[in-house]
Amino acid sequence: MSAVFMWIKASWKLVLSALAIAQLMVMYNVQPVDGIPFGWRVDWSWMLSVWGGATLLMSPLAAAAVVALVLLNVNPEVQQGLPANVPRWKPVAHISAAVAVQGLAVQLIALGICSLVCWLCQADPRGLTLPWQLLTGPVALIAGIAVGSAVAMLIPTYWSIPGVLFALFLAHRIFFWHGWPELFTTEMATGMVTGGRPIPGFLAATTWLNVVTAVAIWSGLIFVTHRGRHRPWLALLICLVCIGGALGIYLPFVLADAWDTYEPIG
Amino acid sequence: MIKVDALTVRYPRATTPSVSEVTLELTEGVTALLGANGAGKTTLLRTLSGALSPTSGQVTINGLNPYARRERTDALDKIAFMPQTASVPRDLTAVDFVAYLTWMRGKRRTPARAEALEALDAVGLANRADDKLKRLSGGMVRRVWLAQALAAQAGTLLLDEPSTGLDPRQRATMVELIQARATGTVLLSSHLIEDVLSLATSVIVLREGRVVHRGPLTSEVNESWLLSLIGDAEE
Repeated sequence: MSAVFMWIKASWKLVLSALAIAQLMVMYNVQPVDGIPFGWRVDWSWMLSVWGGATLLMSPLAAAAVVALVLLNVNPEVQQGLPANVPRWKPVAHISAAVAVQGLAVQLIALGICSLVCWLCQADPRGLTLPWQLLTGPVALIAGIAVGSAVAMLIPTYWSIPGVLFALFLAHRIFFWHGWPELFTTEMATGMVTGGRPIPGFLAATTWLNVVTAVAIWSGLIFVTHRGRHRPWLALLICLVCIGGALGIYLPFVLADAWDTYEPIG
Repeated sequence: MIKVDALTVRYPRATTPSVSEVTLELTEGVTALLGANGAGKTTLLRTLSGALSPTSGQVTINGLNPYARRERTDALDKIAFMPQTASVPRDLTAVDFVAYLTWMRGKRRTPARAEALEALDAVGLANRADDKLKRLSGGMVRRVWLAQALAAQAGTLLLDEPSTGLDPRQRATMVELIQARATGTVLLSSHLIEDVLSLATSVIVLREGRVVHRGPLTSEVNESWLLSLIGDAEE
């Protein structure tokens, strides 16, 4: 049994169900069409927007789950018993990967079900912006989980569980509605957007921003949690490059004071 | 064989070193590391296990330096450590936990699991192997930690207070297990002289981080003499 599967086996009852409920809650709560819930069924692009937008709840929950699992299972006291040549971040990486696999599985199943609904309802496909609409949600979730890993290792207290939950939930207050690339959670259309589509450059920037942020967090963690001699300088270099990359992606949008995230079709 | 030469370990921001100028040599057999709380036993064991770097001095394990980049993995393969903690990953089963640590030491998955089951059997927990660790008693948890050290199949075992905090029956079980299963070079720390006298063939006494006695456990070495060497716990 692989290490990741072992942690999935140890945590799925709580993690998988919490993430599935979060995904379902968001999918259900978006504005109905003709008084019937699941209004997004009339537009493929709207469906994908809501599907990825469920990270509004999923990212904070997944991050908090990582913190809770690490504190319960590989807290600093347990870490003292790990073989000395095992880096401190390794079991945390296994737990984070286990939570990520469960989150991505929930997203994949939800995507399958929602696609079936859209197909049965003969939804309008004109607003689709592929492949980016399929990528923003999963990478935002992974970046959120990376935050959970960092908090679990650097602030190992039980207060960190609600702390990371609220902090990541509030991230949307910073990143939404300005037209800036979105970190950790992605904006969703709460009403019908037929006639428009998400701007591909904006979605691409959001995707890459989350990717480089996740890599920056993890490489930074590998560097700062290293014990003993022989510091992993390559990890620090990767971290700095990724921070530079994140600023390079983010700042042009902020400086341009962009507001639009949608553009008319055609 | 472990050789320690003028080893000093000082924690960051500490005014005095926890281990000071310790020189010793460990060969086959059980050596007890005696000392009051705060004498530096755990620091010395954690340094020998490779978890802490020395401030000065040298440690070699079968001639290999556990702090040198190229020799570290080979050196640490020869050592297994049982920590003092009663804390364990609550959500894992006993066999998953032992197999996980064995796998992280570099063993392949299937042999790691087989060795984990064997080690749990050796400590009398074969029938609890699939139980989550949160369901095991304190004594059983200590035996799981011993099992992970045995599963490593290393030539040297470092056992940090293996019987501390256990009730008399659990303590007796732990002493029996160590007597029966711990082979090769064993260094065990304790402040329970009774356990030391029944387990060890030689003894090292630490006081305020320094070795104040080192030698075989002969009939002249008795409890009151050892107690006088140990002194009081550090405030």
